[in-house]
Amino acid sequence: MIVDMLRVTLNKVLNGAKLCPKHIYIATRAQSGEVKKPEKVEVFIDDKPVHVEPGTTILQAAAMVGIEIPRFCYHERLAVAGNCRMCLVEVEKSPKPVAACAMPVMKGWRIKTDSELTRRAREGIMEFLLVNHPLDCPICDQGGECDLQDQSMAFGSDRSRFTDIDFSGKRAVEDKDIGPLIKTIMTRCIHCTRCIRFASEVAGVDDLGTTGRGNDMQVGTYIEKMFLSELSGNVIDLCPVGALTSKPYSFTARPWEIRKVDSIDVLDAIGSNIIVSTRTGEVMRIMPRVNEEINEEWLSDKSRFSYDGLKRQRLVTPMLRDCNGELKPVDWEAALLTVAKVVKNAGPAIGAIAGGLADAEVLVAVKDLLNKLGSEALCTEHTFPLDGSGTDLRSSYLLNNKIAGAEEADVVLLVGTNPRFEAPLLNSRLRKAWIHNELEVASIGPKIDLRYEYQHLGNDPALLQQILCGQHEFSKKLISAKKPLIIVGSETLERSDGAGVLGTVQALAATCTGANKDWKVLNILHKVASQVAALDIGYIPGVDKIRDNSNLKVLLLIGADECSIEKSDLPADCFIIYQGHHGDYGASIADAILPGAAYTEKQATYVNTEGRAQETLVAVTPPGRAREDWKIIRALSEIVEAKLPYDNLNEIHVRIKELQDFYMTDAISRASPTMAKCVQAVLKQKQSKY
Amino acid sequence: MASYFGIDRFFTFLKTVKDAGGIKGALYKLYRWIEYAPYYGLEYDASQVPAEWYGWLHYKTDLTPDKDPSRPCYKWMLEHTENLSGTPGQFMPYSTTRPKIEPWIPPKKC
Amino acid sequence: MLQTIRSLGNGLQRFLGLRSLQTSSALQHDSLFVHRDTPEDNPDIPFEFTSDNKKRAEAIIAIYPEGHKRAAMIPLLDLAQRQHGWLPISAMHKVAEILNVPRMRVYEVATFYTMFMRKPTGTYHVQVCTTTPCWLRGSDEILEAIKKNLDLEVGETSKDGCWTISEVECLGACVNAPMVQINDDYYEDLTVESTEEILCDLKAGKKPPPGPRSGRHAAEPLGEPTSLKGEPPAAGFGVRKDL
Repeated sequence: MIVDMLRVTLNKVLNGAKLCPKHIYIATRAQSGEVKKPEKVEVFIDDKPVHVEPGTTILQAAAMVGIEIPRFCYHERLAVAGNCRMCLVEVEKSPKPVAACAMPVMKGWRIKTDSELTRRAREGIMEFLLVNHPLDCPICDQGGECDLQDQSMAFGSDRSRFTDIDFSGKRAVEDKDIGPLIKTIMTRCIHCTRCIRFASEVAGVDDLGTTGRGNDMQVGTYIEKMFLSELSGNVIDLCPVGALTSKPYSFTARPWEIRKVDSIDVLDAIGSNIIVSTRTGEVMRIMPRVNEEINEEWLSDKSRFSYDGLKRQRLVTPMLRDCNGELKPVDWEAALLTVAKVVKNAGPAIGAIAGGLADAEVLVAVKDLLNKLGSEALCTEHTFPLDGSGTDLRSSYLLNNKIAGAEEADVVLLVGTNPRFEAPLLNSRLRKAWIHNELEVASIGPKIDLRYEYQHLGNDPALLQQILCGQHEFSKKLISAKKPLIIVGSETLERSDGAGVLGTVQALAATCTGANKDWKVLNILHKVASQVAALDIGYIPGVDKIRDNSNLKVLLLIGADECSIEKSDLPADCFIIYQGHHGDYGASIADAILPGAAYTEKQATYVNTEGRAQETLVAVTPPGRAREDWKIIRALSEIVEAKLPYDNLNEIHVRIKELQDFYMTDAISRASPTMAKCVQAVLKQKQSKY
Repeated sequence: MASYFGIDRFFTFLKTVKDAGGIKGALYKLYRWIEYAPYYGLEYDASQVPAEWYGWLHYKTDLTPDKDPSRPCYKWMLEHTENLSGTPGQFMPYSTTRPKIEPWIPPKKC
Repeated sequence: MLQTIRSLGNGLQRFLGLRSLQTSSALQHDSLFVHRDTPEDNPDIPFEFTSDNKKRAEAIIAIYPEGHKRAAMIPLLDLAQRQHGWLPISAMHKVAEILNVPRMRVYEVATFYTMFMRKPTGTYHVQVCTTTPCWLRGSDEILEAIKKNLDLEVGETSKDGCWTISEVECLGACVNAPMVQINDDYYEDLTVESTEEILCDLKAGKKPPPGPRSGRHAAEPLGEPTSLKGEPPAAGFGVRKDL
């Protein structure tokens, strides 16, 4: 059984008992600040002296002098298990080799990471691992990026003693069905238990475990159950062998034939850093990129698996509605000339709505174009209350305390938000703080499963007023907290009483400032990637302005697909232009369609919910006749004789800086068959008895 | 001196020098040549010369194809075609793989 | 031909002293380490501790300090198994619920220990030791007799749900080999006749006394003791006089 580091077994329960130093190191950086710094001890790794804090493991100490010890089960972000034994090293005067990942160093130890004994130990472990590992690398998806392959090349024996070529008794384990995202080939499993620890510690879904023992031990769910976590895809990256691989990616590409491009995820407002792997102009998969400030090294399933939606339902050619009311493909020239004619005729009676996936460049270009034409009707699809300080002050619509800052909080109040689905990686931070940092979470809003315990205060916005007045028991906790956080979901603020909620929350945040002046209590969690950039640039949140405008002649939808505005809301003769990359609601009501590029196809800036501007890079070219969004607007501006003063990305970036001093809820996921399968799986699991 | 020798069905003129004068060896290579029909302009190309003229053009025989009784003639032999690579008439195999991008098809109006 | 070459090669290898490994096929456990829903064992069948056992469960949990209540998992699973005769999946769920731990953690424990019977088991679970000392003393005959008497194979459960035979490894009563364990009781120093007698008694509803069947007490020698017959010597026995 896995000795997991649940807080029930440690912090909560020991009633103030001190953590042993080993655990402090495993624990978060949040904790390290509070622990008094003891004297450093000197150890020698391959005769190189290094001073480390007591409690540092041999493996960590070796990493400090740049020596990497091979490992399978050890992972920096998970509890130490020490069960693969690959990290065995020789310690002078120790009779046996020791497991470097679990052994804290002692003063004066001389550790030999490349001695004869160490090498023989590694070779022996490798031989044991390979005895029960199938030799199916040619048909294994992990082939080429497999830790076991690499390490057997580096540390394994150069010959085999495996004589059982008659298939009489090599271990075989049946595959598990844990959902539509993760493919399991359990015979390849080397029992490192990384997936189990991830599920238990990070995802908070204790569905994976080991059953049986000895040669019969297997990793799985015991019962037939899906691994329903919004972070489940990360076990694919964690798995050092090919036991857990990506189902949508299976048998599609090899690591050495793909090209990797660093980019930013835009499917939620977190802005996770990603690597887009492409081959022959096709996105093959998306993997997380380490960014300690945002996503650590995890990625939510939606961001990871919805890339196949980039290949379906795409707008690949400009379209115009013909006299029969049908959308017909046309070429760019005809489309732009028609659109330009309509725009010119409309003059200032033009409006624009920006959807959730619009990048900062196109937002700026549209704003400049409309301003030149004399219109100020620039809206975002997702609303945000304008009363109070509204959007004038940037801090009133940002996740001010940063995503990483959530780890340090001691009391968190969630107002009308479900971070588990709106921002899974923020939720994982909160869970981390809940495990390691005694975090207390309370929530106002619908009762949800956050994968950690929290106090559900109720579903009534009036509770906020009570807390503010000190009538609620929770207000004491909030005010006495050293590092309180109030996280408000942008969805709550879209309600009719959103402004009132925001006002109350702002007042509440002002009362509980916490001990630290730099600590920011009020945090807004947005749902879509474009919102912060749009508010920064000066878009008006909400579509009311468009709806109230009765003589609107032209409406420009920039990827606005959320049904926020309907044809019946607009004057009958209003000409709707849709610019975007997916045929969804917006395209179906449009009179003219200008095909744009999706986030993997353009170099574009996105500002995440904490106000961090990040840039996506071009991984593949836009399909068909689709073009980068701001270039379309730039071309259009020239025809309508309101030429925008920038010709390349640098110039438009300068313009963004001028404007600002700083810097399946979307169409892609809806088009993705993988996401559809996940929905099916969840429905299926709901019917299941477990 | 040069005299018209034949015209094939692609309007290619084939000319020959009947009398090469005294320095036959030096002019040997100029003995037989082609003048392409004005129709081709600058777009001429050796593949426009029908294959049956090869023997005559390369001095393997002095008999032109129409006068060669031993020239085999089977019904499966195809008409000569010029090489159309790089032109709109080039052969393009059609793809049997699924398209990488599925375009959006606008919903039909009822 | 191929065979000859291979054996020649093997011989050469041995002659040259190259490393070689003797292998035999790995034994797989006879029970399954994944759960399959069956009519007898599925989560729809409710499991509830009896009121007596609820008290026992509370007492068991009370032993463990706050925060380490999950340590009561094995005793509670055992309690459930004693109540139900074997350990159905709904009992595991119940234990998980009582201890407030994820169900997977209970499955892990229940599958780890071989004494948790996760499939229907008879009222009398006959565990025949066939490890070397018992085997040398004739456990094969005992097993054969039991199989014949109950008309069952090893690992089977009788149709009436009364009997299950399993072959087990050493149960730690080698001094009284051969032996079988029926439920909680050890029956030792068995012969074919005494085994059949025990089974007949159990079938008749009687409970034969556990222990050796040869008439000796516990692990003492048969008949007279051969050593340590006298009184134990007093303190200082055999110590040098000058000390």
